[in-house]
Amino acid sequence: MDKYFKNTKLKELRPGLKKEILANIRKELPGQSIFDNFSFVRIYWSLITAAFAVLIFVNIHTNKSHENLMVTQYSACASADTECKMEIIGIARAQGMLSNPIFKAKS
Amino acid sequence: MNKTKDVIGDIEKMYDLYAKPIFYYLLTILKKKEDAEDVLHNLFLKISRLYENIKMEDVKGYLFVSARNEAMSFIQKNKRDVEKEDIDLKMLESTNKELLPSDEVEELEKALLMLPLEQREVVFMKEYQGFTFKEIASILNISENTANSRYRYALVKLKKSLTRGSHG
Repeated sequence: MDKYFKNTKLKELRPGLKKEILANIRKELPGQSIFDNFSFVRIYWSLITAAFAVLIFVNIHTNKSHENLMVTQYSACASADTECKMEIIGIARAQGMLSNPIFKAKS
Repeated sequence: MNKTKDVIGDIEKMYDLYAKPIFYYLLTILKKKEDAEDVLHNLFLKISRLYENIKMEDVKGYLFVSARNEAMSFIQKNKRDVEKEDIDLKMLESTNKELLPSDEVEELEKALLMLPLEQREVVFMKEYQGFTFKEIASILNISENTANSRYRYALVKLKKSLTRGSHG
């Protein structure tokens, strides 16, 4: 019996089967992204995201400063000068600043 | 590090090391080349899904147990009666016959495939894979004595059919 077992070799696998299996596994794996094979794209993507975050932050900050300036201007209007006040409230409305308590109360 | 690449790399290594013996084991159970390929394919897909739970220390044993389970559910799903089916002679032709004359290899493989499933898988694991009876018992979830006696019965049957074959 030994002569038989020791001298037979295992059957060969169909060529191409390994590629098919690995391709299907690749398709199925969670979190697989087209960027996985292009790390430089991932780096650029991170940089762009960071740049946008900075821009948004600066924009919010600028808006806040602008709003404060408008409030100051509003306060600077003489109490009887309705025209001055209405003009500033008009600008504030156009620029979406009516959530500010000072403009909200007056609008 | 890229996790997906790691998983694929590890599975590729597993394939290179174990796909051939597992394929042969599946052939021993299923008797059909196409079915064995399908099951092998499904097996590796499942492994990729369960990758994180696999203990790498006993990956060979794990793969054999999983291959057996996959083959059994394939048989159930396709309502096959492998014991009564004829042997696919084309499958025997694809054996590497470098060392033994081809008729002797075919004779042995036919005889092996004619054994009942529980005996032929023990012979396969013992002779082609070099598993110990302890390992075989653990893979098949049977006792060592049962594995041993299945092996002995199988050898007696194999010897009988090979002697019969060479005399007639």
